[in-house]
Parts: sequence; structure tokens; C-alpha cells
Amino acid sequence: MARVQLKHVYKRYTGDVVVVKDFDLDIEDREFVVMVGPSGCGKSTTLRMIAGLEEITDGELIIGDRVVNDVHPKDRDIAMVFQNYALYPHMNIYDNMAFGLKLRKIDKQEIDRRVRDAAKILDIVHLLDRKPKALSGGQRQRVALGRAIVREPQVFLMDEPLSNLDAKLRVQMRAEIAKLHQRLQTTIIYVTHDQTEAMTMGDRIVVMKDGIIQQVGTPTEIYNHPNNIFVASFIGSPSMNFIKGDLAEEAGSLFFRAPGLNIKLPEGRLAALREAGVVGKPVTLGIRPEHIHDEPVFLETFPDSKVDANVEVVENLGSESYVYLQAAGQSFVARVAARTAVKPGMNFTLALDIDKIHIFNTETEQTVF
Amino acid sequence: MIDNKRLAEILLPYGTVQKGHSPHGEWPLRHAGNWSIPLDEQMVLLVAEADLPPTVGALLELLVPEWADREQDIYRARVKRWLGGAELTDGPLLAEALEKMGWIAQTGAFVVAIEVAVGERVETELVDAVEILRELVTAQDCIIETEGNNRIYLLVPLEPDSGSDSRRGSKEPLEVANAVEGVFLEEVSGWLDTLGTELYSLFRAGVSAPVQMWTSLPESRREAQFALDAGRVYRSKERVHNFNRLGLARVFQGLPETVQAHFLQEILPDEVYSGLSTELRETVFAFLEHGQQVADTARSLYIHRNTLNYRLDRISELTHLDVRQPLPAWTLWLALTLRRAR
Repeated sequence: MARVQLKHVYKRYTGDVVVVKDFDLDIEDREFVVMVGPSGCGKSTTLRMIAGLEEITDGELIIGDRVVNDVHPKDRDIAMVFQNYALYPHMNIYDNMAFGLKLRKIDKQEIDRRVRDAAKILDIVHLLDRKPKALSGGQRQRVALGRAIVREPQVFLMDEPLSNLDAKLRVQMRAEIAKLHQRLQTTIIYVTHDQTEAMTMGDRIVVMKDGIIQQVGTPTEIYNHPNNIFVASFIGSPSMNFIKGDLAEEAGSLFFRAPGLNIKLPEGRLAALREAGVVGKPVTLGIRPEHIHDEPVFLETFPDSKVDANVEVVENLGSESYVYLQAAGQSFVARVAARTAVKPGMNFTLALDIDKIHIFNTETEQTVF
Repeated sequence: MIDNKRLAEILLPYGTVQKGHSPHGEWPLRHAGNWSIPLDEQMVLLVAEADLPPTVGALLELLVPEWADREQDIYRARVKRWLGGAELTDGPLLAEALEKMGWIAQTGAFVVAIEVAVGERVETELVDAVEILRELVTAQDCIIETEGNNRIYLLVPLEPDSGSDSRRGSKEPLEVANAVEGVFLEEVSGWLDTLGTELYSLFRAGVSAPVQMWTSLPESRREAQFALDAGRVYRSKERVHNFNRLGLARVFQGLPETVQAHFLQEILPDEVYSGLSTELRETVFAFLEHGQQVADTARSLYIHRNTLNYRLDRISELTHLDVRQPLPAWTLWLALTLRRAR
């Protein structure tokens, strides 16, 4: 079991291209941390630096209680699971899991113990005699995990291990890996570009962009209190709605104004807005699709944030519907109850839950509240 | 086991002892109407089949099936030595060897070069990598050989049905070829990930264009090598480099050294290059990656737009190239990319 600390870590390729900048993170023992971000944001490079597959240009990496910058990957007590797991096609599952240990000249009895323990954890004991081609995609993925488990590492590093699976299997394996974490009681650092994976699996999420950590927090913190427009838009599906406008003060109250919109902001937020110096300046209002309502009770409760919209598309998901709208010259998406009888082309009045809105400084893209 | 010395004693009256070596140790070789019986590492007994009395010839024929297998090993060993760079063999000889081994030219193949991308190049690691690849590669006939302590080369025949009618469906030949290539590249990527997991090293691969004729194999080996060399320098973040998809890396890698040197001397001589700090070089790349947009670039670098403008002015001052203009910007980008590779 181990704590992993990255202190002001940088990665530069041959002096010019900086792919990871000032990465500072403390991962607790037995924690499940998910690094998430778009392609090219530096998450895989960071994982590879932890693994020792990429050199650290600057900064310090500590695993357990030792600095491991110059420790060979073999001696870091880590195990990796990559996206493209290739199993040995001519070996049975037992040998697939044992092969790496054999190469490392580990005692036969010890290999047997580890393989059988891992198979038990992964619930694949009954598959040990089979060849990979006789296995389903999910079972093969478990074997790939098994190859990492038999190493009995302090830290598991997983680089998009579910990316090659179909959507249904991915959902199933998400839960399997979360369960595995509980059973193994070990530190897992997991990389994905899929925000749903990040939200559902991690104890904490590290959102990255352009080689820089944008925010670290629990899934709830990140979802409810994003640091900036990027985090707000990246986390959550459908994505948060953004409306560009200005903040205007009138008779002691603050209003968000955009063409066709005049929303009175809550009294409790005035101090924060004034302190941020954004009054009279361009700001961006953010609201999640589930905080846009069509129920009469909401329209009565939030009369200052009513919006007349025109319905463009309705996606009925059974339990709820996503309604794509045009309002005040901008596109929105609202998540409403499936029972709502909305159809493309009809006009629709909605209310924004002003207690749930976010205001961002348009110039810096940072959150005001 | 055949006693070659005894066999040579019996056959000596029908042949001549000549300088030469059998590349395949103790096994007699039947080739082009001759029997070649190795005596030691330097001498062989060469016997023309036509010179043998029919009874002796018939007795030798009885051994042919066993030797035919050995013949396959001999050809395989020849291909292996070529693959590992130990023997210069031309295309027709390779084609002959592969045809004797039963390889069908129409099936196609790929040549792959693999090297440890990061970390120490330890000999034992390469040996382990070869062992892992032998188990990983699904094509049973695949030939694997190392070149020195640095690289592993693979000649991977495609599955006989990889371009078959059933897979082809209504697709155009080019679509089929692209699909086959895509599947193969995905497989190579899987090998690299497994090598990385098992050996704790990052591996990189160069893949040739699909081999259409066995006679073009030497060219295919060069393609795999080229893809690996170009990819390592110009596409360092990727790990599988496909010769058919090298983009600008092909142009850069193919530029003669003298042309590169002259270009750099003209655009970015040593004294100018050393004056450009890491920060300024990073700025050039970021500015171009963000379409020369000041706001986007400043945001990506986490600096104020005034700081970015100052840096852009400083770059122009030092290089006499205004990176706000497209052509000078790309000229500088090219020079910096070439510098980075040197």
C-alpha cells in the first residue's frame, strides 16, 4: 500500500514542448484517483512518468516514502494496465497470467499461489484452462487485470483500460474495477478521457487540460463547484449551458443581461460578484440542463428567470427527455421529465433555477461563483 | 542424427571438397541439382546429383523428406539473418526462400521494427521481448530476429483470409487494404502495450507498407526502419509509426543532412537558436498550434495576452521572423523542429 506524491512535476520533450506543467498532487494510500481530460492534455504522460516509462524533466515523484525519480520502473512496485491488452493467443489463461512472473524467475509455487489468488478475486477460476479466443471481451479484460494483480504491486496504474470495449461492457467493467478496488484495498491511478468513467469510479478526480491541473476534487465537488468554464463544460453530460452577457446593477440588485434575457441574481451572491470586480463587465452564465425547469411550480418560484424558448429537437430517453432549444439567440439543452409533452417546433416557457447558476469571468474563464 | 563425415567419405569419389560454409550447421543441403555436405565451418563437399550412381542417389532420396524439413529451416534461417541485418540478401533470393517455405506471395505481409523507446537498452530485456513477441504474434509463421542490442525485426505474414472476398464485401480494394492495415496496426499497438506491461519499458514500432511481392522485402525492411527513425524524432508522442502515414515526418527525415544544415544556417543559426529560451521556443509551437490566435495561445500557456505579445515581439527581434505572419511563422516552426531533432 502506498501514498503517491507528485511535487511540481514537469515533462518537456527535447526542451521545447512542455506537455505537463507544475503537476502537484498528493494521492493517499488506497485512494482511487482518476485523471481525466481531452486527448493530448498530458494525463497519459503523467501516468507514464509515475510508472517510470517517461523521464521526469523537473520535480519530484515519491512513492511510499522514497523519491523514485531515478528508480527503475521494475523497482517502483507498480503494475500497469493499458488500453490495448494483447493476450498470448496460444497460452491458456493460467499461463497468460503467469508468464510475466516466469520471466522474472519467480518461484513456481509462488506463481501458482498468485495466479490462483488473482483468479479468485476476478472470478475467473473456471476459465484458467481456456484459451483467450474462447473468452468474451469482458473476460479477456479481467485476464489483463489479472496480469497486473499477480505482481501484487503497491500501486496500479491504468491507462484507459476500458476504451476498447463496447458501451455496454464498459459500464459493466466500470463497476467491476470499482469492486476490485474495494477488494484489493490498494492505490489506483486511472486515466480516462471519459468524464462518466471519472465521475462514477474515482474517490477524487483530477481534471487536466494543456498539461495543467484544472481542478482536483471529489466527483460532487467538481460537478457542483467547477473552477472554470473548461471544467464546467467537460464534466457532466449533457454539458452545462453557457450564455454570454453582462452584469448590470440596478436599484441595488444585480442582473445578468443577454439579448432576450434579464435574470435577477440572488441577493446572497452580490458580495462575491462585487469582490470579483465583474459588475458592469462581460460574464458568462452557466446552468446545467437539469436546473432548467418547465414545471409550473418552478415557473412561479423563479419568475425572474423565465425564458421563452423554441423547441428544436427532443430526445426521449425513457425516464427523462433532453430538449434542445433556441432561446435569446442561443442554443440550450434542458433535461426534463419524460412525461412532458414537448414536440419540435413548439414554444416552451422555462425557468432557470437561479440558486444553481454559475457565473464565470468571460475574460479569464475562471469561476466567480 | 546424420554423420556428415562418414557420408562425405562415402560420397567423396563423386564430388569435390570446396571452400564454403553451410549456414545451417551440420545439415546437408539439396539445392539447384547439387548436394552440399558440410565438413566443417569452412569446407563443404559438393556433389552433383547427376554424377551419383542411381542406387546411391536413390538412397539419398530416401532421406529427402527429413532433409526437406531441414531445408525449410535452412531457408528460414536465411530470412532470419537478413531480417536481423546479418546478411545482405537480395529480393529474388528472399522470394525463393519464402516460396520454398511455402509462403504465398498474394497473402502479403508487414515488416515491423521494434525498439525500446525509453529506458536502458538491456540485452536481457530484448531477449525477453523476443520471447514475449513469439507468444503474442498470432501469425504462427512470423519470423522474428534481433539486430544487435537495439532492435527487433518481425516479418509478419497476413492471415490468408485477411483480404478475402468475405471480408471485402462491397468495399473498394483500397478500403480493404486500409482496413487490413488498420487491424494490423491495432495489433502492433497491443504488442507494445503488453511488452510495456511485462517488461516495464516503453516500446516503439515502425511498420512498413504492406509487402506486395517477396522480391520487394529489402525495401519493406528499409520502410519499417525509416518509419521508426522518423517517428522517434518527429512524432515522439506516438508509439506505432506507419510508413504510409508519416506526414511531414517523411519529408523531414528524408531531407539530406547538407540541405538541413544549410537551411538551419540560413534561418536559425547557432547563435540565434541559443538566444531563444525554452519559454520562447515553447511559445512559437503553442502560437501555431492555436492558429496564431493571441487569446487562445495566452490561455493555453496560462499567461496574460500582454506577456504573449511581448514574447512574440522578442521572437521577431531575435530571429527577424514575424511569427504573426503565416509564412515566417511556419519557416521558424520548421527550423525549430529540425533543431529539435538534431
